[in-house]
Amino acid sequence: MTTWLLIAVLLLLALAGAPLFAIIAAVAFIAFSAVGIDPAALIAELYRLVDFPALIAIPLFTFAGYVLAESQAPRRLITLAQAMFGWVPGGLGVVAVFATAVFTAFTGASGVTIIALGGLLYPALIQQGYPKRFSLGLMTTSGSLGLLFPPSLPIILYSIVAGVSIDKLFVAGLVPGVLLVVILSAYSIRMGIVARVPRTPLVLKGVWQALKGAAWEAPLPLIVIGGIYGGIFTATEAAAVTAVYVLIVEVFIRRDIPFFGGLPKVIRESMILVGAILVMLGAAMGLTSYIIDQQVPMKLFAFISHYVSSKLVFLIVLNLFILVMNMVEIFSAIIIVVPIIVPVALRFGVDPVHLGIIFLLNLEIGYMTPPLGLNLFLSSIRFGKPLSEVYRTVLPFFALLLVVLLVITYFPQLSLALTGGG
Amino acid sequence: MKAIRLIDRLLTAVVSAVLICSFSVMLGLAFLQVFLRDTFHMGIPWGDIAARQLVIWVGFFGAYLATRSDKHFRIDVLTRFLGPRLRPWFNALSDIFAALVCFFLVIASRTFVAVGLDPAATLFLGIPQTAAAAIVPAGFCLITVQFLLRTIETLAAAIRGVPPGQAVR
Repeated sequence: MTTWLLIAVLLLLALAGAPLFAIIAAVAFIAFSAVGIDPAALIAELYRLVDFPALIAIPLFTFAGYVLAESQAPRRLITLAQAMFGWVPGGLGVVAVFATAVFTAFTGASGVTIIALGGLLYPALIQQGYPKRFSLGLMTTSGSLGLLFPPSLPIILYSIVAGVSIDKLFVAGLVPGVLLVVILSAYSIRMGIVARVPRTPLVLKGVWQALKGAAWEAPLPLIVIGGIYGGIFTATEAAAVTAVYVLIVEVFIRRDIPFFGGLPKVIRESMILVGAILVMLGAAMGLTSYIIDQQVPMKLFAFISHYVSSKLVFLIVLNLFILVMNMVEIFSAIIIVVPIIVPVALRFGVDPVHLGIIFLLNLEIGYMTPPLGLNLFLSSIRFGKPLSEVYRTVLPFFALLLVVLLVITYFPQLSLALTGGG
Repeated sequence: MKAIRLIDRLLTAVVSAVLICSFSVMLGLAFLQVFLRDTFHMGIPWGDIAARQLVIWVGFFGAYLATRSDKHFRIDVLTRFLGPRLRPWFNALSDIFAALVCFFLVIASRTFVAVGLDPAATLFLGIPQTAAAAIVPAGFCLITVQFLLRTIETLAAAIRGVPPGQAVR
């Protein structure tokens, strides 16, 4: 009885806007004292975070993403993409897909993409004659596109929480990520043809100019992705290299960010996000150990296997569940749900790397799922459109992404072939 | 109220400065390790451990600042639909709750540092493990104080029926 009352109170507090880390810690406190364990054990679990070598990738990549977002790199990136793909039918749409995917991979889908790139891309799309509905829907969708590419923050977080190799996950995301980009590009090309959007001719000199303009930033995806895929360095090492590289380029070479006037602010702002993630992760470490100790995943498996016997049905049910979870808050979804789901999925014979890709793709879709997806709100504010209109415009994109999700769920090889598994 | 704002500003300035220093050292160490490993096949023996400890330090300072600028993850489904007169009361309620939880976390982490760790164990360069771990109680203490400061300001605003000042939502 008291337990239910406590749960109700905590739930009410959570809905009333109490910080999730405090809710998680409170639940852990109650759970620990219920089985007679000293709450100090909660902190012992939290302090285990220092044993995760991959943890440092979170502050380093987040910092790099914030530096890039604060600099003029987004503008140079779009200029380059426009020069390279502008001649294709639906060229600017393809540009938008590519630029936002790269940008989101580096900024970790924290909503920066819509704010930073949307302001440049949306007016350009409208001006070139793309339908308004398409443009708005594309921008809203693009806010989380690229989540499957390294070094996106959700991938790193998933790898830490699920105990899966970060390098493997980075490799596994490649094919599904490219598939998404290709399908959305194809849709843009079709739209470009149907709407008779004028094409800009390919000017080699223009491409050269744009390449020169972005000469410092353009190799960055190659350094990170090539470095990791080529086995030159680990994801954690790539984080250090990227952070220092970006710092030198944007602060000392390009001087987009002043050393004294801008850099401290960027460090602070990026570490605020890191701090918010880490306290939640820390609080959840304790709760997770309790959940594992009480064999909750085993019980959950026993319960689910009563109703679901096939792996595929399990994955589809899981997809629906995660989609709803992710609409609420994605980082919390990873931190809280993954430790419970991974052991259950293992028993159904799902590869944890494959599960990671499914989970992350769900995140990507969750961001744009009406009514609560974060991108919808950001888009509505950024482009000054009512939410109901944004809801309507994302529907075709939502359908496309769902199809990709089903394909990736059904064919684990797409995720696992390059990792040497599957 | 003036005194509270002053404490808040001072504390935040100190935390920000320490955060920026810790971050710089962490970044420098992490990069130096990669550089030494890839070019000379060597590294500082304690470099990785120090960098990993600093992640936790940076994380706690960041979490303090997240508290101050209201950047903690939360589900605000309910408060989104509340009027401007009711909202500060709910905000104060959730801040008091968070302060209370953080206070319990301070106590638990003090016990952990005092009992759970070997006082004689050192990490590197003679730095005791307990000194490095002291950031956990200290960090939660900072966060507790910030939640309390916020609560006072939000409540004062709620009683007066005016929207809270710049520092608060």
